[in-house]
Amino acid sequence: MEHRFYDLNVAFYNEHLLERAEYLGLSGICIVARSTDNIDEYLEKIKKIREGTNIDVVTGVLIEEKPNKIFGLAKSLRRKVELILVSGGDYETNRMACSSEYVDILCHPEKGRKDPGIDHICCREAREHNTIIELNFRELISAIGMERIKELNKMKEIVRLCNKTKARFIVNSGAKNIFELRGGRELSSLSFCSGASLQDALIANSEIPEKLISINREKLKQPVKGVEYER
Amino acid sequence: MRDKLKTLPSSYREKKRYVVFEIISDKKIEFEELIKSVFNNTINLIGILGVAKTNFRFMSDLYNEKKQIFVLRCLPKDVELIRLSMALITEINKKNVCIRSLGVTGTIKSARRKYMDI
Repeated sequence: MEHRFYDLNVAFYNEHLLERAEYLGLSGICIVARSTDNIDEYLEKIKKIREGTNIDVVTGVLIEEKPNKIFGLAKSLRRKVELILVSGGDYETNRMACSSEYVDILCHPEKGRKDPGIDHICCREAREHNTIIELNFRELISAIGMERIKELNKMKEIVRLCNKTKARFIVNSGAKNIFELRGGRELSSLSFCSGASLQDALIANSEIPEKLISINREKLKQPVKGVEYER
Repeated sequence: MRDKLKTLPSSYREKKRYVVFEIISDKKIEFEELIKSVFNNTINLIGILGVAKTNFRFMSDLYNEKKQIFVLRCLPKDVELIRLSMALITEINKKNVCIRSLGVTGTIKSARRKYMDI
């Protein structure tokens, strides 16, 4: 079976991005907005980008706020964008993101830390609240020498915890320029090398994001949670 | 007595996989700088012992300079590891690059036929 690979954290946009993503074999990308201001402008921009491309372009916002503001922001953005990502690193932020139903992806929970940033409690919460834990490929690319070893070690620990608690994980490129974008198989190879089985590694970057996006799109169509109408 | 060893029967030989990669870059990458970068990055990620264990080899006669395609040989279980080590290359001789895998084959012949149109 052919896998449809997704990259749900691309932090830039230029005219060659979609062409390159298609060439690398990606079926969909999420061009992430980094600020919560001008959301309408961002949505208009994505609407224009979607025209004339075969790639599934997903809207998403990366929240980089203090833990006490995450919940409110995520709740207000839930009915506007398809994906809500939270920039991790701080334990309180990670815990908050994992235990919130409004958050879809917790990005790089290990950033700037000596430990993986999540524990078994976070993982269990993430599983219960359908939050996906992200491994960021860019964190690995930008690290050199001993830093890269530590980064790999932390990723290995995250994958181990996710396997143990059956929480879901994903590998995103987090690309800030076109040369940092990677294909689906390359992204999957990171989770495989971090200890996941090949099947899990492939599903993490294909079926899981596909399902997540379709569920969120269905939710966006509903005027109130759980209510659908026919035209 | 003859000094040359007899060729091993095919069932006694170790299984191999050929991973075909393509370099995406604005500028052309020379063969020497590519091979240097490939070895440095692989050793950087998996170490000398790791490289030795993967049965790693750069297939220099399969390098296509025009299409910027090259082939690496490794053991079947280490394909993903080699793929990751190539994905971690972002720069070769101060030129920005992105290396993507085109596919995996079991023989040189099929690698040539599928990815190099020979």
